[in-house]
Amino acid sequence: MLAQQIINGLTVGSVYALIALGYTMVYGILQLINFAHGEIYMLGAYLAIIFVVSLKFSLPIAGLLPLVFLFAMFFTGCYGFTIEKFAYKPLRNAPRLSALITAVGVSIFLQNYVMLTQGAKDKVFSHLISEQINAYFSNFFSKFIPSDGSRLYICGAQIYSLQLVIIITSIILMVLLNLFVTHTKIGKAMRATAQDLKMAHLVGIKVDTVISTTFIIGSILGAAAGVMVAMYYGRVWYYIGYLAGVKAFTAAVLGGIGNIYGAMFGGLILGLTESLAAGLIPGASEWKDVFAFIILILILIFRPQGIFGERIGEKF
Amino acid sequence: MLNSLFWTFWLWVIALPFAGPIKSIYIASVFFILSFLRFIKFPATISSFKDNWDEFLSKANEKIPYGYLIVRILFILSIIIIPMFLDRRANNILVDCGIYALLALGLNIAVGFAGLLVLGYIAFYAIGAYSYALLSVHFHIPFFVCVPISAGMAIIFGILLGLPVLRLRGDYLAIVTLGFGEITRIVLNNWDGVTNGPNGILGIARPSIGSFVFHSPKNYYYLILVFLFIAVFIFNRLNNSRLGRAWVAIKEDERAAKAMGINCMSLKLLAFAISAAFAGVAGAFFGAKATHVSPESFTFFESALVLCMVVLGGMGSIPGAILGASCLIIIPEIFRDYFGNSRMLLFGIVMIAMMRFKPEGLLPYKRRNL
Amino acid sequence: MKILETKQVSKHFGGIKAIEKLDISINKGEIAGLIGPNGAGKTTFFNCISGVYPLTHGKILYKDKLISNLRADEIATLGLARTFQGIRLFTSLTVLENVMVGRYSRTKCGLWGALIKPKWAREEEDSVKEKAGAYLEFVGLKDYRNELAKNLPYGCQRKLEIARAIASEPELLLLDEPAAGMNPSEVKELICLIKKIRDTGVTVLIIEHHMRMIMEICEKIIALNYGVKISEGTPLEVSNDQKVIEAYLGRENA
Repeated sequence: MLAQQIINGLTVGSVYALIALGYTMVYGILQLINFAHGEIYMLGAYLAIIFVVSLKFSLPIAGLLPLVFLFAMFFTGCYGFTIEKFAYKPLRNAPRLSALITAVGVSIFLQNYVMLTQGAKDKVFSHLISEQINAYFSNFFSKFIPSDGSRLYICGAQIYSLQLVIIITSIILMVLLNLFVTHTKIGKAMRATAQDLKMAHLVGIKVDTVISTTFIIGSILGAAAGVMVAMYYGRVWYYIGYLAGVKAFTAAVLGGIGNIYGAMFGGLILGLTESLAAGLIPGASEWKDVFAFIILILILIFRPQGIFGERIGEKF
Repeated sequence: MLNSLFWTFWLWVIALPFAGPIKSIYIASVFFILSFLRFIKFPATISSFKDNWDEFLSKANEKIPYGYLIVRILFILSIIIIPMFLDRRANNILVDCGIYALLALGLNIAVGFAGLLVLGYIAFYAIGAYSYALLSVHFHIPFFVCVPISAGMAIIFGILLGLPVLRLRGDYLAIVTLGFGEITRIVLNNWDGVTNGPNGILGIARPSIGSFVFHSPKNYYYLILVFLFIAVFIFNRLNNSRLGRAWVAIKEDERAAKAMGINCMSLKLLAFAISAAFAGVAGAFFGAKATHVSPESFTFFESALVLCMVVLGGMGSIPGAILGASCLIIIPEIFRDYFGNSRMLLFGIVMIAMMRFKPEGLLPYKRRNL
Repeated sequence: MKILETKQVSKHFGGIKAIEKLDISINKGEIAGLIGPNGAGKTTFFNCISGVYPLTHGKILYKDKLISNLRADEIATLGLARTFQGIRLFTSLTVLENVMVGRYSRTKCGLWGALIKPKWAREEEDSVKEKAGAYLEFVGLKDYRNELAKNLPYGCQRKLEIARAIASEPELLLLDEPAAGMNPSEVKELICLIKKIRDTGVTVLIIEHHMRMIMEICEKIIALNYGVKISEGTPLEVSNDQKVIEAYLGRENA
């Protein structure tokens, strides 16, 4: 039971972590809460399903999956870039309140854009594809982990192979992100800009490019989370970005907003708390969504800088 | 030109997976047309209209004795008389306008005065509505006694939420209030014993004075009008007081405000609480008018709608809040068949466009000459 | 009589010791200057006095009362006003209203006063308006009364910031580089203004790089370098102090 909840928590947590990274990176550089980021995750999930549905089984799973990821990541990256360009960039010197309101506007826009174009009902994968994907990975994991064909058994917990895929993919993406910000030139420029935007500008860093890149990378990570969630549940709804967004933001604050490692850690902690509380406290599963907010308020009261501390203090 | 052609094409491409090739053309071409709108000074005409109007008024005031007063009385008379000639449906819409105008005024105290972005404002509206509903159904307490109680409940929740959060940077408030709005809805939905879950509470008493019971939309219209007058009065008094100036000071520059001896924390809390109280009153009224309340009336959509009204009309402006509420309630109602579900989409666009092109709103608040 | 006294005040930012064990005292009624090269800790010191930063160590006494544990607004209410290095006006308020905000700590109209507007509240509001107008006249901004603060020219914004600060009737006024960016004739005006403020009984502490101005108006100068006091005394004494010349003036001569 406990192991089951831990695995569930890690699954949700790694999704939160991936989304939280987008919040935290943008916040680190622009001190802007990009409310629309939850919607980016939702776009990613939709794109995955749209792609799979439009292909109609014409590809084997091994070839399909990378394409789904690429497709969703490419388009959400474009969306992230476009949103920054049209909505946020003109407001870079405006009061913070304006930028926040714009972010809320973008979020509302995207939600309804998807609702209008894709319909207000759930969008569903064909069951067959979901099962195929699950079976494909079960087959793969069964070489290492005992399984019964559709589920895996670890320490007495029954796990869908996709849960493992989500956790592993998230870890890989986070390692890649870490390599990116520490080893590439643009990654280093990102860190410099997060420290001090004006100074970075003065030493010749192309701040606009850095900000665009940040949005694109954040969006790509969010899209990855969306794709995996879409595969796991087999369905999406235009409203999923809202809750996931708020929770991911909570995760970012929990770890210390502006801090990349904090976001990863905060996401996992939040996911674990949520699923342990919902699983172990009787009757609590209806109230699962409330936990995240209560955690958020508690952190803000007792440790507003988060577990790892904010990288950027208030600038004077 | 080339530039906007490129971006039009770009938008077409990224809209493709969602909208398909044909619908994407619509989306992109809307952008294409909009990108030419900026050559027309469209928003400027509205504010110049307002300037001319102000000028006209002050001239009229010079020429005709008591010119201002006469215009005001005419205006008030007209809003009193007009509903008499309207049918039930139109009056119902006007009542909705009134409720939202009350909400927009209240939210304006937090957002427009003190610069506190509250995203779950509707939670206080819900608290007000459920307070009245429960008191009315279980204890048969009359409406006019419950209004201050509803306001009080909203204030209590406002203070409980504000105390931990207001000392932090503004953005946290936005997200925490967003969360609070959602928590409130979840609690209303799940706490069956008290709130009767998703079905809500039925059979709420209508307001009454003596033996007169408010029942028709027209009755409610005049009742909300009284509430609105009081709200405008309070708003005005606050705005032109020592507190109003201090709030603007906090909004503009918290550090400098502190150096003037302004206790930012307690003043922000005050603004937040007053703002919540407005929503509480509006909520009680809503409960009394609808005679039933359920969680589905208090979604994030409503919070966003009220915020959009404030932004559209102009932060800190009374006529702005009322205009914003009227526009966003009446216009979608008139074009109901055309807008359909795309209302929210338009609200999103309005918020983005206003912040970019006219952040001060359609009827911006002008500082008085003292 | 001492109006401000700091005892072993230290302020560290992480490993950086912005101020280290500073002992300073300012006498009532004098104009004192705080000088030092860039990064010497002058503005940090101001922020410590006015309660923006909590101290790492030490005590600050204002009129023999401990203020280093108070909030910024409480300190301001005690009669300690300040201006800022980069101008921090309330830009969307009018010039007059900016000064009226300065009267905040000397008035008390609260929520009920604002809503019900009893006689005393109206009288208070009138007197705020009247006094704010008088302060505007005092600094020479009478003509800009109803302009928005953001539309003022730079020099006037500086003056407005001073007017806003003295509107709270402070006993100690901290001015952070008031002459920055001003031309010689504006500086001359500013010198007159500061002297005029002192003559109303206000003690003034100035941070300034403008040496001629400092030498002209200050009765006492304190020189900082790397957060440590390196010299203190009359303008003549300080300007002849070898340490100061090395740290500060010497570099200018070189």
